[in-house]
Amino acid sequence: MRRALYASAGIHGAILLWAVVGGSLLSDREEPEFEVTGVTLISPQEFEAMFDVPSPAPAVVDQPAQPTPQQETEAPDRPEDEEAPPQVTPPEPVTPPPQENQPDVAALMPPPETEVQDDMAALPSLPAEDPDAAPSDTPAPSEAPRVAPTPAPAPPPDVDTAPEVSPRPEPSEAEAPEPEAPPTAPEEASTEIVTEAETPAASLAPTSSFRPPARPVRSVAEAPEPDPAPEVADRDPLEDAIDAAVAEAVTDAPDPAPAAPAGPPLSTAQVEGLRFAVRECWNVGSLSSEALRTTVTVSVNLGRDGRPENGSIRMIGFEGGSEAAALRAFDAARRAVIRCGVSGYDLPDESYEHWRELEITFNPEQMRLR
Amino acid sequence: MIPFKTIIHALLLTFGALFAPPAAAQDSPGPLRIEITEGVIEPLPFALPRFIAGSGSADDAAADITRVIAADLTGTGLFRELPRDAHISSVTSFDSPVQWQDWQAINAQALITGSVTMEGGQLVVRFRLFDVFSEEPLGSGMQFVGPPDSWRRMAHRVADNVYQRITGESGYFDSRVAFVTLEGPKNARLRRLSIMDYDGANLQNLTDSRSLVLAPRFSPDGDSILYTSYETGIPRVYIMDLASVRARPLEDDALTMTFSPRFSPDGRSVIFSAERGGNTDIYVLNLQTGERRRLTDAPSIETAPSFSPDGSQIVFESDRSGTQQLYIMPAGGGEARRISRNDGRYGTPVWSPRGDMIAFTNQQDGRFHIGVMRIDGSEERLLTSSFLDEGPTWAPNGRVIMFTRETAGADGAPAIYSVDISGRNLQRVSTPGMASDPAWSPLLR
Repeated sequence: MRRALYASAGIHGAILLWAVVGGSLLSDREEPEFEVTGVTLISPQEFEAMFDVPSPAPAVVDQPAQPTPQQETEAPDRPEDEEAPPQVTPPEPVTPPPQENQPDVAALMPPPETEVQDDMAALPSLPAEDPDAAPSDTPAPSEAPRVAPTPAPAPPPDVDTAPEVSPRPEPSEAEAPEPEAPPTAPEEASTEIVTEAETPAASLAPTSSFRPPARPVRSVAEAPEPDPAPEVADRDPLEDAIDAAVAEAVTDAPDPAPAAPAGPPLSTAQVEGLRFAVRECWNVGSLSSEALRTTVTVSVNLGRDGRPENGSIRMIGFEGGSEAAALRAFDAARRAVIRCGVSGYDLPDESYEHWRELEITFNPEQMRLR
Repeated sequence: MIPFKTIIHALLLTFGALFAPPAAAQDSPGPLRIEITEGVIEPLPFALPRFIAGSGSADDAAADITRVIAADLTGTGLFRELPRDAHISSVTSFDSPVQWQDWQAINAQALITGSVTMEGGQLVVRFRLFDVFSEEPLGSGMQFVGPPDSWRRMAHRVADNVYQRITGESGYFDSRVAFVTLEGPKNARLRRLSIMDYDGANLQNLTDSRSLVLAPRFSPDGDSILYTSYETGIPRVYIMDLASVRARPLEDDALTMTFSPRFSPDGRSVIFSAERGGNTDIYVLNLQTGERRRLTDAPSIETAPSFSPDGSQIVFESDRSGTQQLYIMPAGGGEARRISRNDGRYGTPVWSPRGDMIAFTNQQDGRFHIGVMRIDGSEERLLTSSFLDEGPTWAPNGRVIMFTRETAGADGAPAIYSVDISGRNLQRVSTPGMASDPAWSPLLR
């Protein structure tokens, strides 16, 4: 009781404290920068004298305000806007320009033209530094498999070849002498447990334990050699029903996915760490505005040391911009992946199968608004 | 005040995150999938060893070209050159293999190698670009051949190619800027029309300082410019052929004030403002036929028109609503829709070469800003703020904007600045003295 009271008091106190000072602390309202400018009051005559525009004639006072073209064309609401437009009067005498104020040239020579050769075919290509590396003159990314390189195990044939839908087993029918599949599941489970206890930690993960076993279908009953396990007959009908229900539920799950990778999955913190590591090198400062509107998804394979395999980096999709913009956005993404992975990303080795293949979506929307 | 429900929700989320069991991030087989939504925005570090000189006569050119390439790239704010004394490898031959580890060790993400030779009286510049961490070339090698005095252009073109291959958008280094140079005190300024490379090199004055000149605008082919001159005492639009540096009035009507001109994207017509009977409207002039057509017919002031890149629409400023705002109308005239919706007054709209943005001058609360918005008025961003910022002009690739910034006070002087459309990399453009009214040319041919 007291603990609840203390907890309640603590939380309320925190709320009140936050309400009082949190607002000002959390406020990210930035005051605009002010630039202090000295202001000098001047008379209209002084102001007119600042600009060498012909003086307005007083006769046009009753006309609607017209632009002074010198200023109207350059800025709105300059102080000159309030003046009447300049009249057709001779210009004020201008001081004869000094000799150096003459035009520089009688004829402006156009910039010399240059001849451009784009192909540079005559130049030899740079030799590859690493003789083992792939030829560098093939910049096109290699075609990496879109799916996991390890083929998914084929589903049990009895599942695929079931000729017709089997009736749902009823507990009351458990007494029937027909053989049932559930024995398969307990046997496998038992086998897994024994294996786990005797094998090193690397194989602790349930690799295929969720694979649905044979369903208690008629096909099993029609098997040429019905070999009911003797212990099945002694099973509790309720237990059988539960097993059947579990088997059915597992069977209904999407099955064609490959087996789950070995090792524990990455925690949220580990994924966040990876995300943080990549974003530190994702520099969009030199991208065009169109590339900044382009989201690219990049695929990369990582080695066990956490280093990206440069040759595996490829763009598997983009949206929001043209292909040219996507290529530039991909360049920036590729640089980010390589640069920050040069020492290897900090990822747990036991979960390697989970992060061996990486797909990173680089979405610059928030960067564009900065 | 933070709502109580929000506090409770935040607490629940916090406790949930603290005490929830660690969830398996990858329960299903297959690749580990993650999404990155945040990165860094930093200049891309590149290494640029001095280009190899094929002969002693090319030695100076090799050094100069290398220097200009580095300046072009670092000037964008998108790239950062690694100092040469940090290089581990030295490139002794244009065809020598790249020591990837040496460049990776200094975190060079791009490597530019090149050579400069004199062949048959022509300067030959070759270069290659490499992605250091991918250990692959970025595009094929390229070479430029031209007269020796074109070394600066060739350097700009190398930089343009590097820029394009890394960023994905065309460069803007091989371009020029027309502008107005100013001399003298504030109450007696002398103005001349001038032209220079985008980086301030090769400055040449096109007019004398006897007449007040304003607002040059390049033709789409870059061969001529429009500008406004007070040569006759009133503002009139002139057109100058840059090859001959000869100018003529756009129209023969010497009694009509015309100003704020721009070429159409095909270069066959000019759109401008003209004042008649106390009213300012927008007109279009066919340069072949001399036909002049009025596009707006309102008692308000319509000015500063700018074509869309496809020539189908025109953005302009008007005070028809009581304050200066931006409007878009069909190129042939007709109903205009207002696109500026936020506070302040808007003017000098300029359509981006890409066609997706409009740059403008905004004034509010006594300060001027250069900003950009989508052509429907959305995503408006003010990029600069000062005592007086005005007159934006787009780089050929639509990535950078130049404009005039004038400082306050009796000693205030105008200068040309540039800024990336992200609002970063604000910097002053190199000019020998006071300068204003920049107009960025298209890429040179």
